[in-house]
Amino acid sequence: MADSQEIRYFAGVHPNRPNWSRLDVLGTAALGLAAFGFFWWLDPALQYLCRMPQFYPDAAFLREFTARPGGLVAYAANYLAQWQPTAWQGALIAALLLLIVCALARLACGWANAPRRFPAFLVSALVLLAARYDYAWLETALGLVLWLGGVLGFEAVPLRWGPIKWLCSCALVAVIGWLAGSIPGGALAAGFFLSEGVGGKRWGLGAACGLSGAVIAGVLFRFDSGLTMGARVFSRSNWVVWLGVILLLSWAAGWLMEFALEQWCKRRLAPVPAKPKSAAPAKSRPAPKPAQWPAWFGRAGEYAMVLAVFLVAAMTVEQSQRSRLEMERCASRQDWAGVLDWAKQAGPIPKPMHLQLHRALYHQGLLLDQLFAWPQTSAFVLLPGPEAGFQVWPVLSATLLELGQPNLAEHWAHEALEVGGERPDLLLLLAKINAVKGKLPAANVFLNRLRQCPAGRDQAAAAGREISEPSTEILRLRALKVNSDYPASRIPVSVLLQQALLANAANRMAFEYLMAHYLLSLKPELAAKHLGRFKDFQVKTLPRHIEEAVLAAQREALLKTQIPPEVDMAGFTIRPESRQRFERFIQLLAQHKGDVVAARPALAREFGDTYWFYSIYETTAGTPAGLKLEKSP
Amino acid sequence: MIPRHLFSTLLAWWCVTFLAAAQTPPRISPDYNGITLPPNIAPLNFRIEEPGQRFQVRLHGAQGQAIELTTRAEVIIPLKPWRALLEANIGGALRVDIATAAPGGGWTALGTITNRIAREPVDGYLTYRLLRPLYNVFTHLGIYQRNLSEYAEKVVLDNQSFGKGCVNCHCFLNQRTSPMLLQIRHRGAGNPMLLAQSNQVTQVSRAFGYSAWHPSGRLIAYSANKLSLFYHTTGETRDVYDEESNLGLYWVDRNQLEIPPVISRRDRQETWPAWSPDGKWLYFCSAPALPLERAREIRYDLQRVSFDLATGAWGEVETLLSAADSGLSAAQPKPSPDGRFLMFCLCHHGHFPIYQPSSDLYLINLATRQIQRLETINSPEADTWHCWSSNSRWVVFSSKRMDGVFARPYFTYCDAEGQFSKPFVLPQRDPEFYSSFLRTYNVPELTIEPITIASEQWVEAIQAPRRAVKPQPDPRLGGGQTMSVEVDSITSGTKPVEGPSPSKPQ
Repeated sequence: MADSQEIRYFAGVHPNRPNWSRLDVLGTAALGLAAFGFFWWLDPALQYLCRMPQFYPDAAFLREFTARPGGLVAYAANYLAQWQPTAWQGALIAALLLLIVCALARLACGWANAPRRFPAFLVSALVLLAARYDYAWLETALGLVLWLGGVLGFEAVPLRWGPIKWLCSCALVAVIGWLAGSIPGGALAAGFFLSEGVGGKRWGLGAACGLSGAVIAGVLFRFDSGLTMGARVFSRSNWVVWLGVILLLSWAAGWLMEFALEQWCKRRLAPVPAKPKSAAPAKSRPAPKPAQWPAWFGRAGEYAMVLAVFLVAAMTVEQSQRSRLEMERCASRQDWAGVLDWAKQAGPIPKPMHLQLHRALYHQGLLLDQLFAWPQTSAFVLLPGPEAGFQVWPVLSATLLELGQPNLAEHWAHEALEVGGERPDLLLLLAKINAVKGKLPAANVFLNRLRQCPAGRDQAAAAGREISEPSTEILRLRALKVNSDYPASRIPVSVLLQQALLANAANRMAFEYLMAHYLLSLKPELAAKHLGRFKDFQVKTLPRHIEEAVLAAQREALLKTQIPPEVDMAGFTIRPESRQRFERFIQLLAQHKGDVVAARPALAREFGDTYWFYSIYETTAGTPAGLKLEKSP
Repeated sequence: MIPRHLFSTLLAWWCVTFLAAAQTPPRISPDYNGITLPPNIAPLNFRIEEPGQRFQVRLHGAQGQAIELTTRAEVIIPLKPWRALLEANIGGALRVDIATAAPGGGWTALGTITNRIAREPVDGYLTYRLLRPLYNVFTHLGIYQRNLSEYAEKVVLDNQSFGKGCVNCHCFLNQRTSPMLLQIRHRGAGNPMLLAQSNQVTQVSRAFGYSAWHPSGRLIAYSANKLSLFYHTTGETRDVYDEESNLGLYWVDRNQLEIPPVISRRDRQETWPAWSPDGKWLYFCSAPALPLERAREIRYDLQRVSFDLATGAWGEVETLLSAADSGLSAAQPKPSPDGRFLMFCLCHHGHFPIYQPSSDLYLINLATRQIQRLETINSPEADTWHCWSSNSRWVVFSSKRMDGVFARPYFTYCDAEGQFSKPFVLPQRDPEFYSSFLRTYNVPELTIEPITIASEQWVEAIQAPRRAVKPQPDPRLGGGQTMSVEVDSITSGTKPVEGPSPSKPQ
């Protein structure tokens, strides 16, 4: 028997090579289809937007990846990610990777006598991870492919002499560890131990391979700054906890179900032993055959289980994260209505999206009507600085550019470029900034770089056309450029907005942002001083928050001086409903005898989306869920 | 009669136009047309910016084997034949004939580019700092060295190798790489200076700003500045304000600091030290102290002071060019190694010319004190960070002329009369390299030999130095002279950290 196995071994046919039945073909096809559909539904473009992996086909860029273990897998993953912006291409690549992992895992399990449910487990884990948009999924999948490839390569080596096989295992751990990172390297060492020790009962060789592999992986770990696999899992315990729970529970449930089914089948399919008709000796009768568990049953269960995992993953997808990414996508397309729609579903809005929200409100003409209908706190200013963090800087830069401050926009875009790397969105932004500044050669340098990134070619071509024959957008931004200098290490928000207004009185965005800034920084009296400027923008009725600010300023002045203040309304009037609401607000406050803590729930219910509420609590209470996106008449 | 006159006039006009067109050299990028090149430079690969799919390029001189290429628009010149051609034609002309494939077959001549090969080689190695256009934050920067006769670029020290610290100005003695110094800013190691000598690196626990070796190698003149970056809302975005600066000396052989009163006056901001090749003069820039609000009015004089190495005696400060006279601000004086010339920058204001599009290069003939603006090498964008080659025939400098944002190293030839040739950009293997390269070349410095210290040695000297020294303070001064300075990543200058405020000797 041993000899025949050896012969097959050398002929390239492994003795434990799994056979592919019709069920496997059907199951794999179903798995592939389900995976493609699932990934398409997830929208790889959003995954790309979340992590924005860069890829440039030049030696300098490659060098950045070759300096650390796992870098090359990250490089390959970044390359594959360039197809993600086109959803079907990204889905196809992800589905194919999943199938490759599944097939390799099946082969590896067959050869190493590993538990046959292991491939299904791996595939399910990958599917669940894919539902986390910010997870380095492609890197993980490629790492798994390399890991499984290493296990198979080791198994396929037709070596009988232990020391050579041990050396081979060390070399494989070193190579795979360098390519994919120390964690796949360590997993490979564990795989060798299981394969040789547990599977092949060669405990000595298994232990030697496992231990030496672990040492090599440990050495690689020291240099593995990327930690392509696993590091994120351990660093983000919030969702990992429940992900792990789901995985474990589903598997436990699956195996329990399988066990129950097996028992049921044994009972139902086992032949009922016939009563002996005579007293003939029992040993002369053949023993009844044990109940047969249908071979296809377990495998079909596995496929069903994996398919069920797709459902679990779809149900547990991080919707808030998805909404935030959709917001970002809409903002990049300047679909401002879309930004507001998605913002309603996004839950807590992160800082960069907060800036996009303000831009969207302005572009929809709602900034001074709906500002306080969205979460605002005095801690987060309208145009923050470095303290807001790197994620904010690109949006801050885009906002400043729109406001007519290309130099300040350039500052933040470069800061973001330094931290975020040569991301396509940043290159595009910098090209636009330089085009607005009139530095076309510099704009072209950024666009030329963008052209080298596979995912940025189309954008670069479109932007190149916009810049060479200045589009109306570029011309508009050039007309808004400030024309006076204000040398400072940090310019106060009100100064930079006033400077923009001084350069171009028709800069409506700067004006509305200035008003919004006065409101957010609790200076209603300053907002009230500029009512006449609304006429310059053909505003017929004062925006709601401005009315609220005027009423608040009037009351404050009255309380201070006991004389009704004279406010130059510039021909505007406060709408009666606004006055009534303000009276009601004061009444509610009075009911609680000025105890703002006690009054908060009641005020939040009725006035959580007003400047008045914000002016007391320095935060808003309105939830955007039921918000109607309509501006003042 | 009239038609005949008209005909002859038209014919003459056509002939003149045709001849002019035929003599206009074809456009190529980078612009390697009408330049003087050193005999030891790497092939000047270029891209032909003329219509056509296929081109025939012939590089030839009066001597040697011509190089003939049939190529697309990108012309990649083979290294060995290039070297042979340059060598054969030293002191002569190098011509590049370009023809394009004609639609009906054959070739149509586009013209000839004529360059000159200088007799004097440029120093073989160029060391520079590569970084993105930085503002406050930096993540990736490093010092690199390029062998000028080929394209190989070597990492001297990359900040990724020591925890993303900051690596600042590199400074060589007499265009040699031993000794040399590097300024470092590192969270664990503080802000030391690394001094490399005889293949060993010593960590000097002291931050220096802009530094200059005395030709004897015994001491270093350095600046201690209190710099801050600020921004303009129009024009060039970045600018640097130097609130307070002094010059000092570090005696390498005695491991001692000295703050001579003559170059650290309380009422003046002294910066950019540079020694004359004989070591008898220290050139520097100096301006009165003004607040940030008046940053655009701060203009530096170009000055020098005599120094006697034997006695350590200083002479009187002498103004070579006063800001009041020029209306401009001087920076970065660099005497030529033969001692005949001094090249420096003049810009609208301030002391940091790379952020000033107005920055241009000027030359003083030290014998006649005649100052000339170097019209042939300046551009509308910033031209600065210049460095002489050891034979005083070549100057490399950083210029933003290509796009106004990214500085690139340009070479220019200086003849015996101090006349400069049209500058050309450092050649790259890919002729379109600069069109998409998002890093800027900072402080290009020429050396005649490569840096032999391995990157690991620098890293070791930063993180776990085998040799570390703490400079002794100036014995003439009290505790107040422990001027604590932090090297700034953006400006490569220094700024104070916690500790006693910089004091000025009386």
